Amino acid sequence: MQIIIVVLLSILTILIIGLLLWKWRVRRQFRKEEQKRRLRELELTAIRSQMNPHFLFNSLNSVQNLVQQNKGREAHLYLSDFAGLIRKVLNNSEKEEVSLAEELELIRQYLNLEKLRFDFEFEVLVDETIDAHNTQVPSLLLQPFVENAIVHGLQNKRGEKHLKIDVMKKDAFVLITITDNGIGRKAAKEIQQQKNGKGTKLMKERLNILQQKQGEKYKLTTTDLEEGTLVEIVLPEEK
Amino acid sequence: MQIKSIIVDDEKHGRENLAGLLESHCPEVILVGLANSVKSAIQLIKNEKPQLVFLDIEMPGENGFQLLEHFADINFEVIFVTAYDNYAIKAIRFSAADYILKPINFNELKTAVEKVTKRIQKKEENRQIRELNRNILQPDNPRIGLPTNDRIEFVEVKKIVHCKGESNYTHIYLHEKKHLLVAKTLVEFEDLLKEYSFVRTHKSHLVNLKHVVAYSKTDGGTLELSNSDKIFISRRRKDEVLQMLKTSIA
Repeated sequence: MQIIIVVLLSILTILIIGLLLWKWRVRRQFRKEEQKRRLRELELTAIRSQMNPHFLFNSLNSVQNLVQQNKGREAHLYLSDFAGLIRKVLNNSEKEEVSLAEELELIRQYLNLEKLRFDFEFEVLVDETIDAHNTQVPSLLLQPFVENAIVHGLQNKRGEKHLKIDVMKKDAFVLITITDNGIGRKAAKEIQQQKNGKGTKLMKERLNILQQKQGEKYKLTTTDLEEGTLVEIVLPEEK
Repeated sequence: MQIKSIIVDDEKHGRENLAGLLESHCPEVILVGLANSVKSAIQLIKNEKPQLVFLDIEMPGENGFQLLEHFADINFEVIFVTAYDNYAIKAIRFSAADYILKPINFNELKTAVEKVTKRIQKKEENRQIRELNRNILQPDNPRIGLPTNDRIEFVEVKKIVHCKGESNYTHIYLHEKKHLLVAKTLVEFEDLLKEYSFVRTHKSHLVNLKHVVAYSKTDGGTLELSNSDKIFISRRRKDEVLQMLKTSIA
């Protein structure tokens, strides 16, 4: 009799443990799927914000203005940048990550177009120890930060406007900094009552999910400078 | 040097725009005719025997690729002109043929014309076009064009074991320990080869899964390949690589 009870109890325990294990696995799978879905959503939002009508039509308007002024050569080159940018966004839309070299090329084209609208200077410097063609980054990583710097920082400034992107090696990590000498976040908020920095918030969330998924740490900080704003992005080394 | 050329494009603006850009940026190109369809282009090529054809791909009726099928021997150079079509651009890049994108950037136009001019001067055969034709007609066993130092090598895709990126160059490892250094980035090869069971296992490695002979868990995951090279799998790609390995065996 006792043996039967012991056997029954053991079977019951095994069943319960099995059930819990199964439930745990299903939940983990579900969380993974959920993560994937949200990541996809965020990628699409990033594409949509790059393709925002305001930017597209104002860029075309700047090109039209060049045609109006009979600056054929400039119009030709800006149109090439415009086409190149749209082509890249379309091509990269199916990719979770792109090479750092591709991302920087896209940003250069974006900056060339925005420069035409807002008239500022920019430079993009990459440390020569970095193999940009063989370093992977989340697609459209830099665009929301660069857009913020231009639209909120530089647009409302008088005098010399400058934006600088630095890509450096920091121990095993890659550090990307975006520095502008604009009016700063506080002043920008006062001018612009509407919500700003939605794009950067979404990018933060994307980096967080990637971090959970890959088990590697991304870091993102924004600092107010005496004049302007500094954004630092630290990318983990691919191990 | 003067290069006898024609433009084939179904859209009037396309022909006029390219003709205008050639006139102001490529004076060596002498246009001897314009065609608005494949049919009229065939006649024009037979009559004028151009050295260079600017060929739009998407046209109603027959497309640009089909034009080439009408010629047993293609003894003219081709620069493809296309707006956006992933399939066509991929086929062109696969064979390392020359192309420009619409809207045309005059710097890219100049570079493409210079490349073709060199081939015409050296009386080299345009093998890219022949290979492009072959790949389109026999899609099961494609050959990819690999531009090395001074020539383009054509290699069967299934013979590539793995690729390794180094700056804007890629090392291509073939079976029997052969190795080529190609002036293209690893990303470009990933784009072209991913539909042929190639997978990125690491930021600088692209592996042909058909050449994997063993997977070992040492160092977080390593693939052993048919040429006995061992390739590391990065942590963030492990799940995906193993998944693809499973499906490629099945």
